[in-house]
Amino acid sequence: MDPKSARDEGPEPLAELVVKARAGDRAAFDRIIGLSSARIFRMAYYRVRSSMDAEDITQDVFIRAWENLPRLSDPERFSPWLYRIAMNRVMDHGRKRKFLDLFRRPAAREDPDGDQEETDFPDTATPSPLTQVMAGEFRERLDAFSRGLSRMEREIFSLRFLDELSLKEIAQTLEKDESTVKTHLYRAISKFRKDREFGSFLSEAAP
Amino acid sequence: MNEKKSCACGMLSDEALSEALALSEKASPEILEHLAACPGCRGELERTNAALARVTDLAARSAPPLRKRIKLPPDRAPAPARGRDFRLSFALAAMLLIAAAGLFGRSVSPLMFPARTSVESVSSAPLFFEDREAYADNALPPDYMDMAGESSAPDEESFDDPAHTEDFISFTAPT
Repeated sequence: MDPKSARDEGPEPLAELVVKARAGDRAAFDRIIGLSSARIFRMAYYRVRSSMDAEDITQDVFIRAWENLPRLSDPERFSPWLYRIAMNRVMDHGRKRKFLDLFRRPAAREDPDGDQEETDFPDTATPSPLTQVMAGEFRERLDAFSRGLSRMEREIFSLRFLDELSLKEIAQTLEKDESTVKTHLYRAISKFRKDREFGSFLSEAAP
Repeated sequence: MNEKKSCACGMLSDEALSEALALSEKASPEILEHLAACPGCRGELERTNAALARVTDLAARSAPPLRKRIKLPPDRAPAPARGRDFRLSFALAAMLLIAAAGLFGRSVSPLMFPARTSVESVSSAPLFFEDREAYADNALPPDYMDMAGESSAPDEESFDDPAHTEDFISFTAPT
């Protein structure tokens, strides 16, 4: 499902589904999965850069969400809560990968994305070569820009502009003050404005 | 878009412009007022906003689609809600246990106090220091001397008595 369609329906339907799912309604939870899985997958993908790993993480996130849903006190906070679970799973994945890297060959260790980076879209309606090249270059530019950000700036910039969360949702997801989130976002945007290479790439990529 | 840090008017700082970009219509009234009046700053804001919108758009198009169908395993059930009530009852139970330990003292002393060593327990016993002379006197069992064929009542004078020594020698090395 198109991730934006879930947001266009407004918070009420999702909150109602969460109330039903919290009471044990699996059909309601399946509908929540339909509305949110693409967004969670994309969020995980941009952090682990492997669609297989991102799919596994997405599956795990929804299993954990279903199991822990009775503990969610406010259904309106479902989205930040789900992102929080996803972020924890991504961090677990990162820790596991670091541990496994200890046993990998040094050559494979030098490239952290290594053999897992996927630049094409297998088994789907094949995009044009130009789209694939553009996608690959965008990810590279985004990585280069992200390396210049602090961890918190990177996380907040991604949640705001890649995952399209509001400032309030970001604050709830990261369990930080909204003012802290704003400060880091100003800094990230300021760095974004100064990144000429990324800026010129985005100008060229404009439709 | 990034060649200019801010408008030539110099009224809006880099930080203020970033705030306007981050918060859009929620930015401070001074910033919004200036943006409404200054086409240079407004142009810069619009250029950066457009670039950020392209980041969002390209991010959506550059990620592979989710191919796996996400579904719950049939045997998975939600965990029972155990929020604050569970933690509160646990804390109450722990407090009751501590209170009971305080009331009934020694029966649960291992929970409350560290175990005493044998040295501590002996040295703190009141009789030890008071009766240490008696302990010294009775350091040897009373029938110790019987093993050597002597009297069970030790007599200090007998050790200075040469006859006693001879007797002792004659006992150990009979002729």
